Amino acid sequence: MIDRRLLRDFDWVMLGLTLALAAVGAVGVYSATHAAEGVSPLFYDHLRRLGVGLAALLLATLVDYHVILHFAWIAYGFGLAALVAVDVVGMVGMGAQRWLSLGVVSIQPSEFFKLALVLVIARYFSGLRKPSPFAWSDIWPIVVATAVPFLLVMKQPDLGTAMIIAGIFVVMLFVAGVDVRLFAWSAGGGLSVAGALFGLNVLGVFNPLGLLHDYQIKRIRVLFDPDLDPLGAGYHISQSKIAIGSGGLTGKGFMEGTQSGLNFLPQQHTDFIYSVVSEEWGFLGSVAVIALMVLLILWAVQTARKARDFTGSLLAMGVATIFFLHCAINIGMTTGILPVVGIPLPLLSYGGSSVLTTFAGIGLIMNVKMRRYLYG
Amino acid sequence: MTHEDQGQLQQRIFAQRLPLFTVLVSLVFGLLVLRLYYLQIVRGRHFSRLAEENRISLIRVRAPRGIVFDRHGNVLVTNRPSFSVSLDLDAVRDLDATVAAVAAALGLDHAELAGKVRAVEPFRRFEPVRVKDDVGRQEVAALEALRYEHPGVLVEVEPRRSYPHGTLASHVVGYVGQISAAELKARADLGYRMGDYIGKMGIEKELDAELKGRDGFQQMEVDSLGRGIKVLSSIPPIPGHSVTLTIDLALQQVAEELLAGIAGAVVAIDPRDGSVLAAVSSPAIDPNSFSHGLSQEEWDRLSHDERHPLQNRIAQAQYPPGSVFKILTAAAALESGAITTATSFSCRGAMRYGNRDFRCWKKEGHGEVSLHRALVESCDVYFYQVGLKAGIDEIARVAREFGLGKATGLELGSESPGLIPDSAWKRRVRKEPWYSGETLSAAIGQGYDLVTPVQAAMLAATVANGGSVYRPHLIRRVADGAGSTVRTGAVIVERTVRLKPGTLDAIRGGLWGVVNEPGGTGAGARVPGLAISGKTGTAQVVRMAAKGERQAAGGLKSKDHAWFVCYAGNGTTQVAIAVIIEHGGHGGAVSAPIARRLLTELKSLGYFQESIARANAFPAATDAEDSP
Repeated sequence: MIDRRLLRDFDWVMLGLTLALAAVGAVGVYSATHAAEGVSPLFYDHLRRLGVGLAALLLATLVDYHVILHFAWIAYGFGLAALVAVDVVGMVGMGAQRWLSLGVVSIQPSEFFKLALVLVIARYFSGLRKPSPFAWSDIWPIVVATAVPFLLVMKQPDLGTAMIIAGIFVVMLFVAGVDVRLFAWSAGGGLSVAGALFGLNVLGVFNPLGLLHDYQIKRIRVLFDPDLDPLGAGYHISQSKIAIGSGGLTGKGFMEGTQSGLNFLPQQHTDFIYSVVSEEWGFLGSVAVIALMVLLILWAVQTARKARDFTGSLLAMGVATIFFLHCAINIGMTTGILPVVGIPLPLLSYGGSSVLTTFAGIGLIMNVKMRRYLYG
Repeated sequence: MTHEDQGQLQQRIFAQRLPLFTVLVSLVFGLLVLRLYYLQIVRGRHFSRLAEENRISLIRVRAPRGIVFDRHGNVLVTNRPSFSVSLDLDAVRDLDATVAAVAAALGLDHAELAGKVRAVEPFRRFEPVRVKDDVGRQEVAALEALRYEHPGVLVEVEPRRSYPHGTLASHVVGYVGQISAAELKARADLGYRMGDYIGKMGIEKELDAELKGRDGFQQMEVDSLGRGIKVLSSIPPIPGHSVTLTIDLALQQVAEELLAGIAGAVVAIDPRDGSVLAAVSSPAIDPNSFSHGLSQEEWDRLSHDERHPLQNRIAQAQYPPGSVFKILTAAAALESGAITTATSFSCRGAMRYGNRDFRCWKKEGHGEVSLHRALVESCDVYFYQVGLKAGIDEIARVAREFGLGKATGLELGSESPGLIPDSAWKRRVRKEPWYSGETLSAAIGQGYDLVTPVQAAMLAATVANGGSVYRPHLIRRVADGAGSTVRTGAVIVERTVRLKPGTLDAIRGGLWGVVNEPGGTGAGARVPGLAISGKTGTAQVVRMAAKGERQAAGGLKSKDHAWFVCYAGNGTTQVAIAVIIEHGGHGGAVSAPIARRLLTELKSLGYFQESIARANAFPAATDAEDSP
């Protein structure tokens, strides 16, 4: 199975980009968790998790992705079962039920599920023996397969993950060649429903906001007016903006971030790691991180373009979409243009499930790249 | 269309649509870069001012831990204000001079403090360096005088855990300490942070989540020197829940005085509900010194002390029950029909079995004895015979009926299960068959049998209350800061011992005789005006085979452990007590008098009157009449 050509075609560029971003994250986590008592055990924990992630990445490059896709529906089944289990027995962390305790470790099944969804969509379209563009009659099973977890995650409630599941679905179906008219009709339908709900609300018949949790509505309202709740939801946003803004052009320097150092920033080593990095390394550092992310995504798109087959292209695009949506939503939220939805920054944030799935996903992209000249 | 054409068409559509994704990515990230440009370059100075010049600081306000009370509302554990001193390096003008002045005022080594400050200084200038915890009032006064000349010296007040009774009930209440790396990792998602205090033992540990409370925050506007200008808003800390224990402070105090300087344990339990009135593990430890961090020297001294003060004897130490176990041997023999109360055996001071002599503690022998006298005088030979007739498996079954051989569920954590051996256990663990000679040892509580002090007290309680095995408990009530009850300690009957009518009566009659009849081994426990029943026990430290060596060795460690379990009351049975004194000698001579002192104290505290009133108020409480 291991071919000499595989080693020759090993994707060093992708590995380099991944490790560069992980290094920036590790420095940020070190600074964010450092306390008067010294280096935090959480930092060493993060390093260990990066090590595990790297192993997962290499593992994901070992077996031909066609073999991996064979198990797509099984992965999907386990992922879905875990999502249901979270609903039934999950632990509540930070106001939302997202964690599943396995005794030794707690995992966030939603992180793993996103990857499983990409595998299933790639597998589904590679199995369609029809010419694109695809019509509704070709794609309805995959619509159902996406809608079920989407509704489950909405119920948890985890708006961020729901947004990402929807994003993966739309992007992958679009590049896979689903008829554009289907997208247009769906968009039109969605707008009509939204309009109808708004009308009902105005008439006082039904308040659709009642479907959202109070804290979710609050986070959206606070986005436009942080002073509504300076110690609660608005606190995240205003402190994060102060941290990023005060970084200026060149930043305050390593371990000199006063916002994070004095513990102004909540969840600074997890979801708000980008604020720490921006405060300490300034505009130049922040843009450099974004540049690394864009390079990584474009490299993945390039991999998709040059992939040996349609299956590989879809797989690479799916993973790239997860990565893109995570980065965009997280940075949007730390810079105060999106509501705080609890999405980690891939490769940078502290958090085992996120580190593991991101590395494994990137391993899959590298897998596609390495095997583009192999036929079999 | 061929398969090949179809693939090409798919690839073509894919290639057409791919650039749109790239455009989307570029647009989104372009927008984010613009946003960063706005925040960091256009408004950078504004945010810098917010962050640095007139910064808003979020200060954690430590929640005071919950208070622990005894059953009457006396404070066992509380918090006291304590002063800590830090240096705000950003505000200090002349670092060397300030360090020198602070070191002098606090009596610290100047070079050591300077080194500590220098280690932090290059990083994290804005984070105050903790100089000294728990500073005395005189030193605080000296520092106050310094603060005008040397800005940047911070004196803060924090609640600090305090155990006003010192070593009292130390193994029950436990102690707190700074959270360790492992504890932090396990609880990172539960709001614990570095530097937090967390319960490390006893109630402090088992009820940490309830005692902890929730820290508050203050959003404070501070000037460029880090001085607070005004509090913008705050979330007040939520104090931890207070816990009322079932412990009786006065009884606990007397019990600890009786065990001063001795290694051993005392457990006193209300047999009507399983609540623990007193629980002593001696030698005690001082939770005050533990909570503030022990010096290496203190730690070495404690961990190498051959009397093991760190061990919680109440529920962790396992001892052979000795003759206390005869209660169970008797119950098993009566239950299985192996004997009746009239069955008698002859004791001539020893019994030949196999090729060994099994001796009675009384060399000259007890003569012809039946159950009642055998219990009263604790005749070993009688119980060898009875044990053989009942068989080890029946004895073990009855012992387990009484709840022995497994943890009782007391809220102290890390409880030992004790050990009740039977033939199946021997085959499984020792890979050997059970030898009938071992039944003889087991029948008088030697050999493999092990019980903890709390199990011994529960055995007495179960005999006293007529067969209800309660779960012993220490928690009476948990209340929130406003004093309203969050939960009450549950009274749980773990199991009910099923015995023939008459079996318990016969045993209780014997136990009454132990204390009250001529020749009874527990006469030392008598208290005028109280009906007391009990059983003595002498647990051999070294197995019989090694008896010769033991006698040759001499000294402290050679003596047997002295047991006494009893129950007592005035009308109804209101208390069950277990006393064990390590290497104390004979239970009747050493431990029974300690039980007497405890019962006397309880009587003078009015416990038995109070209990009658209580028993009347709660008719559900078991009404167990003592034998005449």
